[in-house]
Amino acid sequence: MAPTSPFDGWPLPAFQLNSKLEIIHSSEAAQSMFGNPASFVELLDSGSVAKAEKYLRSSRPAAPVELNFFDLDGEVKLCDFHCKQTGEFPLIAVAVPKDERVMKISRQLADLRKRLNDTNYDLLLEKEETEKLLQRVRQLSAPIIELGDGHLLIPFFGDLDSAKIESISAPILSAAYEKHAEMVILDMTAMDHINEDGMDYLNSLLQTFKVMGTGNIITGVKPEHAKQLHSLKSATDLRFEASLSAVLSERRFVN
Amino acid sequence: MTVQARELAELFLAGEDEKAMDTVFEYLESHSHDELYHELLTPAMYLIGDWWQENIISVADEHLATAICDFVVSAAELKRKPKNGIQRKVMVLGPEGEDHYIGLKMVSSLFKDHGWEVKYLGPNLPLDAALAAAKRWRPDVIAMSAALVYRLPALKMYSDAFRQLDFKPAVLIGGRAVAGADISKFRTEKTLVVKDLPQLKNWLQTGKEVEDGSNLSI
Ligand code: B12
Repeated sequence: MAPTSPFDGWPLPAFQLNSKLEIIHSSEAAQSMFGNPASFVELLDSGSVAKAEKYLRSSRPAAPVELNFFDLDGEVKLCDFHCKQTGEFPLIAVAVPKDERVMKISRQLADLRKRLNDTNYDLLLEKEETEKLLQRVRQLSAPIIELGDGHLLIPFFGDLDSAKIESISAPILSAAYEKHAEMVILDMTAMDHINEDGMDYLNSLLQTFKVMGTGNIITGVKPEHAKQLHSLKSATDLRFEASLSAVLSERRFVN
Repeated sequence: MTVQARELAELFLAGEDEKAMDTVFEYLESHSHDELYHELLTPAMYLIGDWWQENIISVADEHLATAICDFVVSAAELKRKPKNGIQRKVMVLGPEGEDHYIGLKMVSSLFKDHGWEVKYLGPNLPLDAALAAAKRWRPDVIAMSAALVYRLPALKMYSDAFRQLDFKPAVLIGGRAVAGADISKFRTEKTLVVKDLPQLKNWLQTGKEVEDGSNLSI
């Protein structure tokens, strides 16, 4: 190392630069932290080069200039760069690495964000699982039972609303088609509540059956559904039966 | 008159979360979320970057501004009316070593706006974790972002790894580093380079890239 370095024994990275920002001398601390290239800007992150050129070449501010350096491990190190205000060269300057505490807080913030995000992600996956289950439950709430002889029995369980309809309509129609059903028995014994969407759906389902030439019987109608279902009757030629068992025995599925 | 990016940048730096939020909500009364992100919030953050270059503010100030901006983006998200799903899924992330994430959040928001299901995995995600998440969730698209120019090789490595997946997701990359880079070096098939939010919007609506040379398939 040049014995004439003005920085012998300096504890901080220090530089002497000429007007092309080439390094004439640098302290041992500077070399062990950043290496020893010919040009000062080679030490900098590309996003700091224009800033360094502007403030070191001319208009030097009173306050230190923050610059991002690359250290020998390839990590970016933010430093306060202090230099003499007068525009003369050679320029003598000192780089003071930023307080580790700011960086530490920044890392902690990033960790916290990551944890929040992971939690969000887990919740999302759980929500997805729950939705799949719910979908399955909906499909199971209108199982399609083949009775033989072209008869299908579909008991409805629970409420009939738009979400449920969305999941049950396609399987019902394709079963009726694929199994060449002649008669579909819709059993309402275990059905709770029908809302308006439910009624519309039931209506269009019955219309579709009619077009397909499939007959249908509605069984197990409760008093609270009777009024709603009555309006359907006028639109389609529907058969209502009080009990499922009567229908089944009449058709000799049970004795 | 509508609010300027400068005013908002000043509110961010002053840590004025409430005022910033009010300002943004007022802006949203006559503008879309896309406009909010592209024409107001991004310029405000870039302005903050300029002020750092002009030695007016420090990196510590940028931390505060980012936190307020993040808060405002999240608040704006909640104001968005949910769209009906189109059954397409996108996973959004930044590669390991990349901590800039405001752009990623905006990208997520734009996808949601177009009815996509979005999994936002955040920045600084190791490749193993990204691949594991992708295999589990099988997204149609994986969108990545980098602000640091020296993260471009990582983006390339991640894209290559994603393209090996059997379900062949499309890979989109964007961010400040990408917008300014000579991406022809990274040219391969099935990775799209998207310069900014308007281009992303165009892609979402038409499925086509903008043919202006700055936006090549890599
Ligand atoms: C705020 C900020 C920070 C903050 C916050 C970061 C965070 N958590 O988000 C803090 C202070 C923490 C920070 C840290 C650092 N930063 Co910084 N940072 C910035 C700053 C000022 C603004 C970034 C921002 O939020 N922009 C707003 C968003 C919305 O813009 P965007 O990311 O470009 O995204 C838009 C588009 O690009 C697009 N887009 C983005 N991603 C994608 C993806 C897809 C698929 C699509 C379609 C589109 C798209 O959509 C977005 C919306 O319009 C920039 C300056 C600048 N001009 O960008 C520097 C800047 C990016 N940072 C820089 C640097 C160097 C750093 C540090 C290394 C510095 C240090 N000493 O620690 C660290 C690195 C941290 C890390 N490991 O990643 C440099 C990068 C230079 C380079 N060589 O590339 C810049 C340019 C500043 C500079 N001039 O030196 N930074």
